[in-house]
Amino acid sequence: MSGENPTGGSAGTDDSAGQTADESTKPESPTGFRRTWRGFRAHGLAVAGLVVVSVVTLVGIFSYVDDAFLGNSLITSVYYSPFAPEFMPLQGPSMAHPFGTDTLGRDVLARTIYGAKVSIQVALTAVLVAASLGSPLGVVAGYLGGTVETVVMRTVDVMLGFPALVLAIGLVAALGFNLTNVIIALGIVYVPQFARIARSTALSVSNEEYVDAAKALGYSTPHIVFREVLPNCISPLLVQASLLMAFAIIAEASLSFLGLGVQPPTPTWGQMVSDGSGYLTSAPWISLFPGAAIFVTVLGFNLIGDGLRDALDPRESAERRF
Amino acid sequence: MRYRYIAIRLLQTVPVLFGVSVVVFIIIHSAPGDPVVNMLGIEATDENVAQIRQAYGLNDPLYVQYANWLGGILQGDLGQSLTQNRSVTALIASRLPATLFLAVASMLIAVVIAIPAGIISAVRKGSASDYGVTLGALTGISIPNFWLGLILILLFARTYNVFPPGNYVPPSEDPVAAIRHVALPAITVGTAFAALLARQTRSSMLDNLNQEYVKMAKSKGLGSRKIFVRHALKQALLPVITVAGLQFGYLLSATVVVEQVFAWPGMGRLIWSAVQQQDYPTVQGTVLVVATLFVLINVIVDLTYSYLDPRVSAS
Amino acid sequence: MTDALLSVRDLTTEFATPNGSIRAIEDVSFDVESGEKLGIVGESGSGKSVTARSIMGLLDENGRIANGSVELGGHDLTSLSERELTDVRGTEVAMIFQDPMSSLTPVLTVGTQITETILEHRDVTKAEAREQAIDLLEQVRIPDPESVIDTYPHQLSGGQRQRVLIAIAISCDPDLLIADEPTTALDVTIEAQILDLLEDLVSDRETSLVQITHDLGVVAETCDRVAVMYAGRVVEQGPVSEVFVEPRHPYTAGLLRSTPRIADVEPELLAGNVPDPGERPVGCNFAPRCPHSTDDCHVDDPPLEPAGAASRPSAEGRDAAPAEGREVASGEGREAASAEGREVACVRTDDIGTLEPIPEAKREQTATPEVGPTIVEGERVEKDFSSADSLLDRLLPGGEPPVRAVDGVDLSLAEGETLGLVGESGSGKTTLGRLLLELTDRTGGEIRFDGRPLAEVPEQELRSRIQFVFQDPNSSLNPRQTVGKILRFAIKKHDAATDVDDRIAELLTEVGLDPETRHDYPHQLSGGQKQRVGVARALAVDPDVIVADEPTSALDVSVQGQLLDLLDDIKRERGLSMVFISHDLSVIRHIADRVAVMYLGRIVEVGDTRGLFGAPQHPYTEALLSAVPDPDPGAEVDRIVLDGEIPDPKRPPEGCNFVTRCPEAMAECESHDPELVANDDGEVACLLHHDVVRGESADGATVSDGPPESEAGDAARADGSGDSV
Repeated sequence: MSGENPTGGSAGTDDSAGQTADESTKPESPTGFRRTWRGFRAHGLAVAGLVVVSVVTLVGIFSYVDDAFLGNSLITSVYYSPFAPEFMPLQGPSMAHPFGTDTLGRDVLARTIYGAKVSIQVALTAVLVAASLGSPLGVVAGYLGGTVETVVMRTVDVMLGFPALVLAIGLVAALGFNLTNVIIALGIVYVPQFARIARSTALSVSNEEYVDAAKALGYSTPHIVFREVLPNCISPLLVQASLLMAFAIIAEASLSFLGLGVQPPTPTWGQMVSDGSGYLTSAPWISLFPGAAIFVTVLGFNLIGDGLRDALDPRESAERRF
Repeated sequence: MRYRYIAIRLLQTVPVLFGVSVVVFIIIHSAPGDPVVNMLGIEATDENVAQIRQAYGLNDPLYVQYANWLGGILQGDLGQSLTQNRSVTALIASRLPATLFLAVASMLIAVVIAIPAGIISAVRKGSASDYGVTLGALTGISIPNFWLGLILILLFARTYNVFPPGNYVPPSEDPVAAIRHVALPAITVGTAFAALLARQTRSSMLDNLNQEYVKMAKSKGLGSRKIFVRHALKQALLPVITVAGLQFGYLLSATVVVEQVFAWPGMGRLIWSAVQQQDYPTVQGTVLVVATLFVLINVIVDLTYSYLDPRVSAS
Repeated sequence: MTDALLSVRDLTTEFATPNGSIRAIEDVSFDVESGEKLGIVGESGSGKSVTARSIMGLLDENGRIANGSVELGGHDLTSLSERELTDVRGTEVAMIFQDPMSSLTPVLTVGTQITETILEHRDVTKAEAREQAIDLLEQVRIPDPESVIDTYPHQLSGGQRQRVLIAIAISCDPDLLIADEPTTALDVTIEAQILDLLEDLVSDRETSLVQITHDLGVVAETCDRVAVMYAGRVVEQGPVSEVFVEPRHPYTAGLLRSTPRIADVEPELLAGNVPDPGERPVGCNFAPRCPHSTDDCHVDDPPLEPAGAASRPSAEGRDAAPAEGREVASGEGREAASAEGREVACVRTDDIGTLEPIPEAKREQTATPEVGPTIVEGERVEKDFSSADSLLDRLLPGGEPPVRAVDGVDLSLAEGETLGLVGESGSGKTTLGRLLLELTDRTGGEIRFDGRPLAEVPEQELRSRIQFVFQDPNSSLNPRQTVGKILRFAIKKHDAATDVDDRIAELLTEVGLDPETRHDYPHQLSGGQKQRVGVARALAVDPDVIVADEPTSALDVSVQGQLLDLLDDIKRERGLSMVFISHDLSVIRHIADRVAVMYLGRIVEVGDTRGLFGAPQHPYTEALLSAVPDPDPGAEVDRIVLDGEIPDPKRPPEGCNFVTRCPEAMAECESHDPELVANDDGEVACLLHHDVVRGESADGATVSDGPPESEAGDAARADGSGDSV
């Protein structure tokens, strides 16, 4: 074969000869990033997901800055305070309060905006922590094999023996219910997820001939792991990260809903849904709007994850090749 | 070879279960604060505390406590609840059936909906039904179950009185009522599960339809129905089984939350109240039991897989 | 053309790609008479497989037949509905797929997959179908068909699976069989079995056969007529005996001349690459590579026209020509074709005339270089691969025994020589190559580099003096590094002082690439270019020894020739020593000075290339050589077809490893494991030859009385390796 197939999937050695008329177009992008982006963009829904997630993230950043540094002055200057019970409780949606007011007379929209902060903060940090611990661990285990792999993977097996949320509940129960501990708990829960994927990817990457070439050239183990193996494991890890972001947002909301997460008065979406659950028939908006916020945000991350997977997965593109 | 495979798979679970128990023990014992003080309240005298500590063996070194606990587990004794005057084993025994009933009902609903949906979606790739299934599945995995539960209650219990809003009725007492009562919680738990299964079914079916052996079957002159059923479907459902097993943990996680929404007296509520009340022996016991259940289900799934896939047991 | 069984006319197939629609094949026309065997030959990208799949209606979703017709037995397959096609497939035309590993459904038994075809098309009961299936398995020469019928595909070897595919294809007596590279995925001795089987089945049943292949030898040995495809078009067709002897199209000639042969000729280079389907030139697709091209060639795609002695009829004349009904030389008396049945798509064919299929250059006599002292030496090298994947698996009884990939091998490589290591899959040749560099830890034995055991050679020295060139162009380069970066690491690792940029340019020039290639990522390069980068990377450390593991096996013939020449030139210029690993005997013949033949983890014969190819001693070598299909249709075919399969390396046979398949096996071969013993013509591990061991040592003399005791053999071997270099 004189090249790889047009869509860039690894076609393997070519015995299929004429079947694939290869190398029809040389992608102009050197890194494959643009190629990935093109594939991603082809999914209209994935782009929609990206927009949703960007908006929620910006809202989250806004409320974080406003809350931590500006004493809520930003939001109160243009809207209502998410904390002060200033209005009639249990008012339905209106021009003044598009999402209505809650049991204490606080504006639900203002609280929903502030709720983005915790969701994004927890999900982003927990997944980042998990990815940065789990991925190298998995890659090293996959590449080195032997005792290192046995120890890492058996530990992962044990951790994966717990249903994720149950483990998270156990951890926050032991650590205490606050923001940091929720992040730590979810981080710990997701480390093995990354390790597992990283290890299986690294295992297959380690069988590639360029890794042998690196060994034959006498490169050091860190060089091989971090320059040859790890960069080629990124794609599935990226997909995993975006999907776990979705899970993490639901997990954080679930903990909050159960009262085992970030405690009041900090508004979180899960907690708001829980607050409204007693007023379901009389004031459904209290639960419905923050719940919808969770739904839309999670949907956004799932769309991104699917888009990335399709753009990066050679099997999908195999359908398009000829 | 098959028996050897089974033996290896079973033996492999022993260290995993052992590890699970160690993790549970470590987590619970790393909790800050004194559970005894918490239990007795701030008015507790030092003597009282010391007495209780002695009684629960809390003065022993950790590994002795672990060994005692593990020894107890092996005899079916998970310790004594700190808040209720019952053994943890008895508490779990009273709650487990409700959770299992809910889990099985959810699973059934999910399987019945998801697998046909996934197949149709793959076979009619690009059609309206494919888009419908794909979007539905996406919605299913994105919707937070507690919120979905509330919406279902609002719609089907409060607004239209179709199903009762939860409340467990043991199927042994009144099967019809049990099914009516489990309907909403099971739909809530099953939605995300069904979505995951449908996605997996679709992608693995598509995967198979692209295989060379499907072309081969076509070249023999087989009709498309036979090709789908014989050459793609069985093969495609194998990974679905594995995913179903792995996602059983998802199901168990979901029940913890959903039981709260529907006031379902299962393991989830037990864990929740024990955590709230810092009843550590109960937390420890229930988490252990749930995790063990999950591990065992995965073993069963693996063994089923090996039975169905001729390649596993031979290699 | 009404008497043709299959008549393909102007077939054009397009594929929708993200970059627009691409024509994989254009205006393909050919006929297959009933009972005829047509070979369609071409390199990758020629569209030969697409042609087969277009006929069968098995194109991928994004493919469609844009133009043309496929008439089979009177009806046009391209106009049939999918439902109507199901009645044609299997009964009138059946296909044998290329890859036996992926063409059988894994979860269904072999029996089910055969009987379902029969049940679909024939009015029989299940029991009758099963009986027929057993009968079919017997016909495709599968031993013990009664039990094989209930096995799953994964329990069978590649060769057996290919037989099952054939059994399915012939199960409903189709009039036409299309075999798409049926032996490409198989080892050469298994290939010989399958080709033999196909030939017998086709002639017994008077079935027509379309054999799709890239291998000119396969066509020469199995086909009556051939259509040569290049870049989506048929460029020449006619009887094999004429096309391969007096080619008319410059591409046919170029392909024939660039194919390495076992015979004593040096292949010629065919410059350039096959153009991609999206980038085919205006005019003749071959014109940019053609030594005979003029401006006329760049105007229009030349039509396929009868290559008459002088006449050049119009396009319509092609259909009119057979009416003249001239007799054909090929002996198939009933076929009436155009002028000698030959057609060629070349506007200059009358000016060019017939071309020479065999390169003029005889093999250089100076092929054996001045051989220096031994640089790499292996002694009793062993490698086991455990199949256990966990501690438990290892501890529990009843597990699989380890795979003995390399089983006590001695070998030596002298400075400046090229040692060819040849064997089929599972022979351990790649593992042995990897052991020389310690890319894999060995289980036993000793390897010496420059006289020192590997353990005593500093890591840094070893890594800069011996390098590896890999097989798979798609796997040998890190896809996330540019060519420049790949080379930069290698250069800096071993010589931090040099000007790296200069060295990169130097290296790229040395392997025949533009220095600007440094900015490219691997996916922007062609397969041949990637392999050149792989060579440059190995050269970056100025090694003394290169181990090349099938570096050309993934490449097309013309590209393969270019890379082989490059390796040979570099080796000479740098005075390198090289171990060249390949399953392809003609490639080995071309590049190696000395050859070691491996079978099931052992070296069975070593000798200098000319001697070994001229007069093989070991029965395995002999069979291997005879099994290679020869592109010369006039060559005498005296194929030794080995029975059976290569034994499972986890459970090698008692005695000689080759005893289960050896045509010359004697009773003592089952109990005595022959050592590699030197004689006048090289070294051979076969009891047949052990009585001719030179009587220099007393031990050697005793050998002639019978099979040697192992000590005796050891001593003889030690002697042998002393003077064998």
